[in-house]
Amino acid sequence: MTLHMLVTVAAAVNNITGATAPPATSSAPQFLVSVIVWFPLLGALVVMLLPNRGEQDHGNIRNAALFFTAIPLVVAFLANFSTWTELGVAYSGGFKFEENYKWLGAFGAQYHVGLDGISLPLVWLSTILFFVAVLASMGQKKRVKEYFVLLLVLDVGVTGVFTAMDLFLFFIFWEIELIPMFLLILIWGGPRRSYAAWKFLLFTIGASAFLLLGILILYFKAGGTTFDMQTLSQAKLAPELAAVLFWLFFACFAIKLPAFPLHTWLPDAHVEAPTPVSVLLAGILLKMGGYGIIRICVGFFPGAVQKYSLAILTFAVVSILWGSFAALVQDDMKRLVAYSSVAHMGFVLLGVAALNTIALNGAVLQLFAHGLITGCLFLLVGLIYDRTHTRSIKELGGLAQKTPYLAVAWVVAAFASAGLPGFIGFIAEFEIFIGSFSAHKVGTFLAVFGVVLSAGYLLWMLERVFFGALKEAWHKLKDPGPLELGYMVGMLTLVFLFGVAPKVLTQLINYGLAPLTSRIPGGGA
Amino acid sequence: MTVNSLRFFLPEIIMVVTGLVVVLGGLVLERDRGMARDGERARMFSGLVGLVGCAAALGALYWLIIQSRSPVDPMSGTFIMDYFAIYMKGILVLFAMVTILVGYRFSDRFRPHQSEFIGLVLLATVGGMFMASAREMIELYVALETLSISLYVMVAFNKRERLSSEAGFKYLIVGAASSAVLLYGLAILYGLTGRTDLVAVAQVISQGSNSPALMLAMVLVIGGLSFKIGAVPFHQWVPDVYQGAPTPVTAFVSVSSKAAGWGLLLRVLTTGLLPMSHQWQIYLAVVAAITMTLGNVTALSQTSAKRLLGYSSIAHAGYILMGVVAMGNPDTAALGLGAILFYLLVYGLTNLATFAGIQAVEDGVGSDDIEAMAGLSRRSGGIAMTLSISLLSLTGIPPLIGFFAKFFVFLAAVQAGFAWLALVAVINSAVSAVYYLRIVRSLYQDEAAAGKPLRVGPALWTALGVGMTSILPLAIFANVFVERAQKAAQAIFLR
Repeated sequence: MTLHMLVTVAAAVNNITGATAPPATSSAPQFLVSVIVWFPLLGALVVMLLPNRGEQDHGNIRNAALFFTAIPLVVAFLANFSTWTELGVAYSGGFKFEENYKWLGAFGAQYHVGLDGISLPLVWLSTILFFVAVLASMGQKKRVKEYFVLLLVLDVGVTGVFTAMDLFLFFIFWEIELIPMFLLILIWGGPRRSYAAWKFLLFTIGASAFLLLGILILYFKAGGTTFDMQTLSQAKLAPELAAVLFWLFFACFAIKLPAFPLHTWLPDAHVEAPTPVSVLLAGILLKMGGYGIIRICVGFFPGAVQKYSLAILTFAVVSILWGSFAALVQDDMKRLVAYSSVAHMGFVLLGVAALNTIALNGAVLQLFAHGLITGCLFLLVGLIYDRTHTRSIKELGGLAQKTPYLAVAWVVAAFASAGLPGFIGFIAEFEIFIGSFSAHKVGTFLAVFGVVLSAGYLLWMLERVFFGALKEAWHKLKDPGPLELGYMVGMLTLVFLFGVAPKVLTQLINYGLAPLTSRIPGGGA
Repeated sequence: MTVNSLRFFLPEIIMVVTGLVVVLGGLVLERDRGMARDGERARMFSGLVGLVGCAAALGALYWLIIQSRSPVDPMSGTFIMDYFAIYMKGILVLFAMVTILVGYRFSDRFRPHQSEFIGLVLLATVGGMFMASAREMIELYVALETLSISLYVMVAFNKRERLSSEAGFKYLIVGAASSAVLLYGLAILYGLTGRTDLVAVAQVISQGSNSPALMLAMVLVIGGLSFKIGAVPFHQWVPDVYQGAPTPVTAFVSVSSKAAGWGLLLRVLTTGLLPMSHQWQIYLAVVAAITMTLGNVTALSQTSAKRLLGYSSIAHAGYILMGVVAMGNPDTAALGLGAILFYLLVYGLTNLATFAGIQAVEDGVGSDDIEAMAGLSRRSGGIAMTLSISLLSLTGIPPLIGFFAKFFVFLAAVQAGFAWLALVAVINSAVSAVYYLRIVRSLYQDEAAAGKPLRVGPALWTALGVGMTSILPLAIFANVFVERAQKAAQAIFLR
């Protein structure tokens, strides 16, 4: 990494800690979040009603799905236009675009959604990835209608989780994701899809059980009158109780994240899922776990996080090293990327264990960065698989001679994933290391090997797949078409743009983190 | 009792008259046995009259709510008409209507007895309605037997089928045994207190001390009633009857008979046995844990969908019992009862929709085997989807209505200090997802069993439609229903 880059990052980081902002004023429409969340459901209903007989109808269905994922994307970006002009100042005052309606009055559950500096990047991420996933599904020929209906329902659940401000609503959205994902893997997956889908289901349901228990206990111990997340986060709880609750929530989110040793569902699910679904799984569904840890574990029980930071650190370091070493020995490219996800999500935990502003900022940024970058990697694996019908590294070789554009995209994405400066992943990991080093020296030292290893397994794979002698079987290989190249270029451009101008995100995230970090015992600076 | 107070029996009177009209009218219309046209006519007649009668009974119930805002007691303590009774009667009549719709086409197979089938649904419902109002030992027993005997006949309706006859026989034996147990309990209660009016019984009990005989009476009464709700220890009949009975009858047993049983159990617990709430709370907490675990674990290995749903209904009885446990504490009593009433409505409509779906599958495929449903979504997407949504609602997957029902009983149990029971229930709930989803998986798998698209008549579609409207959009308005149910719940404690 160049010195210049370091200076840029240091400047960005300085800016984070020194951020003071005037209170925001806004008269934005108050149905905006609902549009982002529920529009895909409308899409699912429309797709359900469309005729489904021939190729023509399939085209209509695809276009409808594209439309109903494009609108939330546009809304999510346009609506927050102020964040681009004033660098997120609008979010310095906490939640924006809040909607609060009475729902289950008898129990104090409300329809309460909103956006803040933590959720906004993740809503961006999910709207981007769903749009791209639909684009990448244009070639889907099997049971087209059901496929897009499930994809759109999945969208509702995921965006809902990132915007819910009521714990009951959070749980509802959290659960919506389960069945569509189960069916997407089960019906459209690879040869071992049945095994992978059931494994995914069992892990996820187990996780939900912990979440539900945690929510119930928290609700009652905090007075039993409200599920409002901001109120609950301020609840005065005995330290022992907070510790129990922390572990209940953490168990759920660690399965989703996933952290070692609860990660075993992930390689299977990712490998068997069809490419666009893998993109969503790695790109967004894992982020639900990371978001939960930061929003609920850190936000509600900062004392417990601090108390058990060594345990979290251990999970983090083992996940990073285990994931990296496992990735090193994979022959299946998709499996390799899947294990790299375990390692990269370990960095999120590392940031949480450090429990200071910079590290947490890095952790949120890492969620965003990994979502985009791993999305790219899975799409690229899919593009190779579509052409060669294999993902085995051994069987490939020298592809760069026949598919130069694909090779370039791969190299860029791999560099981004390995944390090379200039890409957003670097900023995230750098922030995490800065924050973590001041808190846990040995743990951080070990975790840095994860970066070295990631460069190792990615570059080694590139070498074996794209360079060297071209094998006989691949002489007729062609580069991807304009559609595929289009969305790849789009995604990689975002990875690069945010990498050179991370301040847009870091400042935004910092506004979101301010209420959390202010409650960390000992300041959390 | 005056003639004027007969109006409080109007819903029951309407149901009895309709039942008799249906049976007699069917006999007249089906004079030339064997003529297909006559059979069709008889079926249409009894179906329509049955539905109209039920609608009229619902109207009468509504009229009674408007008329008297406070609980009425027209027969000096034996027949009570409060919000709770009206709520229970309302859902029972509603369930009867949906059952008629589910069984409309199926009843063709009972020819020349199709009208009797619908008539029995109505008469059994009357038994259930009396159970909801009964507050006196002899009346409650007669009401219970009215329901049970109608059901014994209905379960064995396919008399030429071995499974159906066997199921009917088993049902009769276990039913008779549990009736005997209940009678023993009631007899001991009467012996100890000298009263048959349950409120008077409660007064005597609360004055006296706890004797071992009283404990025995309590366990026997609750044990005897657990037959109807399908809870441990009288649960063994459930899977056999569910599998063997004709599907519309299974639907009816799983919904109406259970709801009626719950109505009676709740009435007994909140009147005669109220002074012993500490004792039955602990007893039922243990029963709940055993019941749900047993139901869920055994359901895992089933291959017949109806049998599987039988075990699942045992598990659901366990969940509902959590609400009863919460009723043992005075401060959570209304919460627990409200949760149960909501659960009964939701579970009833969801289960009816499920059986309507299975009925459609059975009609087309000829079997309720889970494997026989393989790939059904390719042929009949609508049925596969509605059936899946019903099953997911039974699993308790948000945002479907079944989740809210479960959540409320969990909430009530935790509130009452039974967090361990909620823990058991949450684990059970997770386990249950596996077997419900096995059916969903089968419906959506690629390798399809051969066959044509299913033929589904308008009556069955209506039943499915009712189920879907209750499962999907009602979650948004769950509040309204919860508040109604809690109102009914508070009323039961006004004596």
